[in-house]
Amino acid sequence: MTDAVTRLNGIRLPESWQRLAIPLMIAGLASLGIAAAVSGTSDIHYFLLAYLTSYVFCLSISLGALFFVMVQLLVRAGWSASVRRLAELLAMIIPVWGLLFLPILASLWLGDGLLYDWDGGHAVEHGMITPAKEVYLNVPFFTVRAVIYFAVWSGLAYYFYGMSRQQDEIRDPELTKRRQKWAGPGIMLFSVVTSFAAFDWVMSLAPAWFSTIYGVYLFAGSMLSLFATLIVLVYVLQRQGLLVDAVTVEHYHDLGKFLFGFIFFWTYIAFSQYMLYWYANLPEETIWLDIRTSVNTPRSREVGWWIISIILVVGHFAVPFLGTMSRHVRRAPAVLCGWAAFVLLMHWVDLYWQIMPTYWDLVPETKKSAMPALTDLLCLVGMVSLYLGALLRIAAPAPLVAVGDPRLPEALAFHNI
Amino acid sequence: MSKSENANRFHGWVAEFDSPQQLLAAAERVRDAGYTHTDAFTPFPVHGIDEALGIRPTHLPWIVLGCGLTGGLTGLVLSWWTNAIDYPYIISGKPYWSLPANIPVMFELTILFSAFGALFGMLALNRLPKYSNPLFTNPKFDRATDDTFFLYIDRTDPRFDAQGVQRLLTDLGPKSVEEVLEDDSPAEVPRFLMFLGLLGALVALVPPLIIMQMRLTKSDQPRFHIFHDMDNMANKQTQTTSTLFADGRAMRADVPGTVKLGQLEDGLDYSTGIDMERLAAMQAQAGQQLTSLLVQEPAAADAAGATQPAAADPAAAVDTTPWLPRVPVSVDAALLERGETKFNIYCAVCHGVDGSGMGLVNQRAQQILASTWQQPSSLHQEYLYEMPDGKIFNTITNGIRKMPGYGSQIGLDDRWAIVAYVRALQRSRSAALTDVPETERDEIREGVAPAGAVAAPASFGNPAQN
Repeated sequence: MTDAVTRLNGIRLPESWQRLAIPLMIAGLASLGIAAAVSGTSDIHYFLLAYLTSYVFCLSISLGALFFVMVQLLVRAGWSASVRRLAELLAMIIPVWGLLFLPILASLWLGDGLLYDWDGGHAVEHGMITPAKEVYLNVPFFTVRAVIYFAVWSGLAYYFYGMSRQQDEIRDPELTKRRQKWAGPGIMLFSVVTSFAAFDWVMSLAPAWFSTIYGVYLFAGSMLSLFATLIVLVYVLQRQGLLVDAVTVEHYHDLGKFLFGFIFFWTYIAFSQYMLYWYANLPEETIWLDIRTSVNTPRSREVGWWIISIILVVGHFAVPFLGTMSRHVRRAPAVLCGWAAFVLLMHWVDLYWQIMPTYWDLVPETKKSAMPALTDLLCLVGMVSLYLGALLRIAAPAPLVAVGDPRLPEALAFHNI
Repeated sequence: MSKSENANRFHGWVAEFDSPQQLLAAAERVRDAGYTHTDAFTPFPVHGIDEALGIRPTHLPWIVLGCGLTGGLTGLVLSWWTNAIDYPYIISGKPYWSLPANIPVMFELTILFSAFGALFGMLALNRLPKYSNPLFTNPKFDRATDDTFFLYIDRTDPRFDAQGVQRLLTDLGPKSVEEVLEDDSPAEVPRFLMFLGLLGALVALVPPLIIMQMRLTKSDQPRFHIFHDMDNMANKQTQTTSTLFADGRAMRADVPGTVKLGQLEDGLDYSTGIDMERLAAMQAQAGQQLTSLLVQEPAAADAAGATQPAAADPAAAVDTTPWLPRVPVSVDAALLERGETKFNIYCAVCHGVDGSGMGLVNQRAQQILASTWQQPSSLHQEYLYEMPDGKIFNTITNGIRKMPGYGSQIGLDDRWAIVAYVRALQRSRSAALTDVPETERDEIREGVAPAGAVAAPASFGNPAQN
């Protein structure tokens, strides 16, 4: 077993990939810049929403990764030791994403209601929120909270990744024990912070609306997209001849099980939110769903958000749920990778469906963005490029497997029933 | 033990190993040697043992999938049948059958059926529960739940050859290789267990029997309350007071200007007793009167009374309202019976069960010489015989003189049924023998001699004689 571990020590990103990091990041920034230029001239509001959509899309993967790392340590899982490093690396992108939050903060400090309608001081006046909400939804407090969120996430990510890297060198099981001890409190802290981040950044786009399950909803999407990302990453790396010894079909099987489970978990949470609003039928609660699901209101007819709602039911739930149900699918890496990529796309559609309708809901008819689809696409491409660039940069000095993990032999010998 | 003696009791060979690794290696060798009727027994699940034994993938997932789909479909049909077909009931203004409300039912039943499918399917595929297994006869085998690993080859295996298997197993380096023999202990379930099972089944019959007995028999005992707070809720009962509302009444009147669900479904004629087409042709202010009749608000009812004081008094001017002359539904025995029931409940206390106006309340009022009491009308008066059905209906609905309106208490159909019954009561006073169906004429001939004259005072308050 130790022989196998020694061989894994050398698994690093190839030089050619490492060199891609900077160009990818530059391309990403350029793409975002073009999007801002295209859309910004006519309507900066649209650009900021599109920016937020793709921003949250990438961030949610890293948040899922951070939770995954902690929960694997908390439950002392053996199987995941060979893929946990990838999740640790993904979680390390969170500090970089803290920098990308600056444009959003800038829009709040410099502009007046450019992104969030509660921003600008007229929200109470215009009856959009109650005075009590203004205590929470104001620019200084929002900024302080964002700093806290990134501090907590980055702190946790550094702690778990740093100690794992240390363990690569000194192979001390004590380091695993220490991380196991902090995984529990870490998860508690993470849950609170992530939930509030979802409230602040996405839910507050509709400032009068509220959903206590919203944080869990975003979390469900995060975990789902993390497992999808892990599957795609492992598959792509294995195609390059990396991780071939470390990750077997058994690991694909387990990742596939999680993918399958979280497809349903997302559905469960999304439906829980939907059903309570549908049942109570209170105007201040249903308004959010009304824009997105009603077939016959003028607003929804104009854009057709209900079509995206149907696409989510079919594409985010029914089709991948049935598609990943079979054991044979989960044990066929290429097929599973296809499903994972599809699920990732659907996660982006889900976020688009959550964030973008705000624009049509509140911006006056006369003021429409030029080339919205291009803006959406450029933002997505830009964010994903930046994300991959950051990942390559962070992953460059590290082995792609946590070689010092005392559970690695167990993971390598792992076998499903 | 020689094999010939025990030929019938011999089941196979079992080898004992110290570690899962040894067991896995041994199982692979046995698999590669072509044996299929094999099994392994371990204190904990050993990863990879299925493959090592050459066990084909189980069919259990298909069973679970089938059960899950059945469960989901059961939930769908159950909620659809109960909500949309069998007991349609409007809940918070939603359609009778709304998918979102039923998805939780479908979900839970899918899970429940899947779990049952997984558990019982697993038991069935493993042919469990089994009372006896010959392996248990070996005392060493007890350690299969502790620290020892066993590999077993059954004699039913097509490649089985007693000596060959023994040699193969011995070569694998086990701690021991032993024959599996069925001992003398009986293989069938002992009698006392059967008896206990039977007893359990009988005891299980007791609750349904008790329930059946209670459903089928009558009792003068007060009912017992299993869920006291469900049987006696804290909500307000009818005719009680409440401090919640300014008027102190727990029952709330209809909100003025509103129309109850379905209130107008039967049309205005039916709900007012007035021929609306004729009314519209006759009177301009008909609309106003119409509204005041529909809105069952005290003030409006008074207004309606005020606009037609003539109708209240037989001696006054002619009432021009185009009342419906006849009950607007077909009058049959069922309607009359319904009318009789309702008449005896609501009307007979004052008007008397025979309609003579000498009900119990009236008798009592006369006894105590109640000064404000106004005698209820006898229904057997000429002007009432000629009164249109619609007007009688209107009187029941909105009241007249001291009589309050019963529109809020008696349903629409029932008020028309009472009108029909009042007509029958009136007819009974002057009926000829030919009015009675032929089959019942003999009965009447044999009964009271003066057929047409019912002795009214003697029959007060006694519905049985009516």
